[in-house]
Amino acid sequence: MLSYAARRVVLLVPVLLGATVVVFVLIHLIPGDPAGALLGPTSSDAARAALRANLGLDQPLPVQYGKWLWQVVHLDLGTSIARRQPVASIVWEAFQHTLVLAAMAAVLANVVGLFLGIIAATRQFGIADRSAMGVAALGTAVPSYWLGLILVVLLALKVQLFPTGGMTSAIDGGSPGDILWHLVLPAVAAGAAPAGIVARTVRASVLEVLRLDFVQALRARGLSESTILFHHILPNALPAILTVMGLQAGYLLGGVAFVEVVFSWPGIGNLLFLSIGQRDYPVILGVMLFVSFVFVLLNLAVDLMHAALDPRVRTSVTG
Amino acid sequence: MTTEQPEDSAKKPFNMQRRDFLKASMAMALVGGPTLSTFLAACASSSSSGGRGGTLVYAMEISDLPSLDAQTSLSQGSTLAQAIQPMFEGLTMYDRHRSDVVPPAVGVLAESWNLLDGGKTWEWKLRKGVTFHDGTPWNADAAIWNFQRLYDPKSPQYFLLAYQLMSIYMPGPITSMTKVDDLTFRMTTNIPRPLNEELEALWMVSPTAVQKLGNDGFGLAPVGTGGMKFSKLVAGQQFEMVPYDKYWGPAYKLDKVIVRPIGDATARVNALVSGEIDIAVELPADGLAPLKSAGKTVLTSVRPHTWEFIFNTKEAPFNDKRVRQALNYAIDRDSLANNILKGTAIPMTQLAIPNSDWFDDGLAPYTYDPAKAKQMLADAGYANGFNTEWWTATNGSGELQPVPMAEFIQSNLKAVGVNVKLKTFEWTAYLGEFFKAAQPGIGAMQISYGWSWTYWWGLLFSTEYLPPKGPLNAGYYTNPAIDPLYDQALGESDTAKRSALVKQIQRIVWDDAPYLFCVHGLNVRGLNPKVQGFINSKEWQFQFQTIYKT
Repeated sequence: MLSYAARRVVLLVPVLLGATVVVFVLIHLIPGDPAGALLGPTSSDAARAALRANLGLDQPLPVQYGKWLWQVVHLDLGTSIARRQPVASIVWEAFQHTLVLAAMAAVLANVVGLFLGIIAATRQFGIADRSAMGVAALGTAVPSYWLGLILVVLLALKVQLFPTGGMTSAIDGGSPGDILWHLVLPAVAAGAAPAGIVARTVRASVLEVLRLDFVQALRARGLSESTILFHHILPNALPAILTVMGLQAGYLLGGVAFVEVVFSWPGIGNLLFLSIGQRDYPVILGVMLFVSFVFVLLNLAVDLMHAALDPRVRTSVTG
Repeated sequence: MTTEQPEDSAKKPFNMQRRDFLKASMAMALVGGPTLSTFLAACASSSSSGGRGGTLVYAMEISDLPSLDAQTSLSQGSTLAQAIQPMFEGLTMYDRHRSDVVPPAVGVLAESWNLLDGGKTWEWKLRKGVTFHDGTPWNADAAIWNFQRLYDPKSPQYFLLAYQLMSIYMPGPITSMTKVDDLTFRMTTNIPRPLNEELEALWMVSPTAVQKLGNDGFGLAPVGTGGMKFSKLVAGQQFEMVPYDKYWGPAYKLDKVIVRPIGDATARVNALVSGEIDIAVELPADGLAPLKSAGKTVLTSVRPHTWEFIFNTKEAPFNDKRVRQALNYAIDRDSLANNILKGTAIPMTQLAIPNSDWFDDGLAPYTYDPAKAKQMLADAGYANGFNTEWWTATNGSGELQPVPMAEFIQSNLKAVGVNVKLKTFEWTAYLGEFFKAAQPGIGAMQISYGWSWTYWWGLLFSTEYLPPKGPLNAGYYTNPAIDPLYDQALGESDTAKRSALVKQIQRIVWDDAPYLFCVHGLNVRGLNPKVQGFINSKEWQFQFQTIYKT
């Protein structure tokens, strides 16, 4: 188990390096530069060239990348061009906000997904199954930003139940209740798609276990349906469900990006969106490195959990 | 929809009457230059209601909080400057307490000034009894320290990035600065310049605070001399300001101003509709109906702004003045302003906006006359029209709704036989293209400008600032008759004479038609009806001093 974990951790390094190289090359392929974005249409060539030199953007790309990597190795993500604050603190701040939103969306997605999946599996081909799977399909199919806009129109503008955006109220905001109130709409918008996917996975996994002989045997012994479901079927179906839930949590960390933009949620997706507009290279790189790191780490955690729950995975990898 | 919303004087206690303005103007004539305090005194006397108080939430049209240092704020156009304006003041500032005309630059931290040495040296008399929010006195030392921060590479406080960001707003070096006495200093430039207007966007920061916090730290806890002081920052989400009790001028009426960044225009409309914010600006045409039906106040006013396509005058067919003029007769500016933009813009009848010093009553606008356009094209040898490729951004600062606007213009031009192929770019990418100026084969490039200073006319039209030196003249337009007029205007310290020279430049440009002149975008400001004392200035920014909430 330990060597499995160690090997996976070592594999992180090339994955992250590869991701940063790709991002570094890609952002420099986009036309436009930070000096132009900062100085605007009225700036002269000389002013932009001077600013580029000041920011170190006049050096060859490999040199810029090398310098950046050297900084990263020393745990320094550099300084934001647009905000003039350390990238690490900007990214960390935004990440915490994203984590709040992603966690709320994940809880919502998993609870709703589990509920819908179990209902559908235990009432296969019935109206409940069809309805639950219909809702799940809709949740998966609807783009989160579209759902976000619809929720704003219906529940923030027509019926003014929730705020239209932001994470706290401007006046006396910031209490847990206030944040929760701001979380509802973005969490629903972000959680709809993963809820649908979780529901379908739960249904399929539960059905698969339901067909196994031991279920018949348990029934023959006179165990109640709920005991069979919660004590025997779900634990057996859980590894597959957990993998999907983990993947969805990883997806949510990146997938809430659109929702963050729609709801002006000050998270990492919003930060990335803004930084691309401003060509704030250090922040773009910092965000991408951080998100890749978290995503890979999450996958690792899920795999380790999977291995802990299912000895076959352990032996197949280490053996 | 009318372009100018009538202001209800009963509702607006700070509405200045003509009589008071006259009084202020006469007082102004007695000192070296107009000063804000004379205006304020007149304004205060016209203020009948004593309303005050309230916490105001203002939505700024960018999506995050950059450094709040006034001397780097203009990297965001006037957006951030508007938001931090209650905390900062300059030697001069636009008098945004006026809504009757495009506001003139008046003395604020400078009480008056004298021009010496044929206009090359400005002697500034500073206002007495002013302190920064941290107690640092405002005096000649503080003033010189501030200018050294931007213009003197040898000074320890020199801030290269701030210089680079501000230099586009203030061209040309300050060659020397000398202290005359505690409240007087002199500033010399290489050529005579209208510094009272050019320095209005350069606001003073506390030397003590910058030295203590460093440049980046100062951006998180700014200290100026304005009527409100910084009180709180919630990273990335909002900052707050409260009244400064030792302010030299009339006290601000609000108890607190909270500024939130909401970059998306529709999100600002939504937040205003739902009551989360009190004031938002730069609202989109489609947002007006929901705001009005939600009972919000929508105010529009002119500001120095132009939206145009710059013709590539280096190449055929746009090297021919007749073609450029013909196309100017081919577009329906009224429909563009009132249908496409739903009244959030007005047709451009000249480059200068109405009610400004530069507006020329005698200048005839280009009318919508497709028949005339076709005839002119035929006279120029294009009876069957031609094909051309034009570039525009899809979004961006001051860009209004560039794609629907460009498509409307495209359809207008098709009607006179000119087939325009449009190519669009995201804003920052577009800027990258725009900086290269019009490339061979590109007929025109769209841009919008906010003009405030005399020196703009040179940047746009003088031979000196042709690309690559100048960034703005993307179509390589020149007319040798403009250069001497521009040089004269720049060195002219008398406002009326300077305006007369600018008007002469405008007449030449208008006739040469280097642009497809389109519209002037308006300020579109949405207010919670509880907001009182708002003065709808004819300028990019408004002031917070007179505002309160009921």
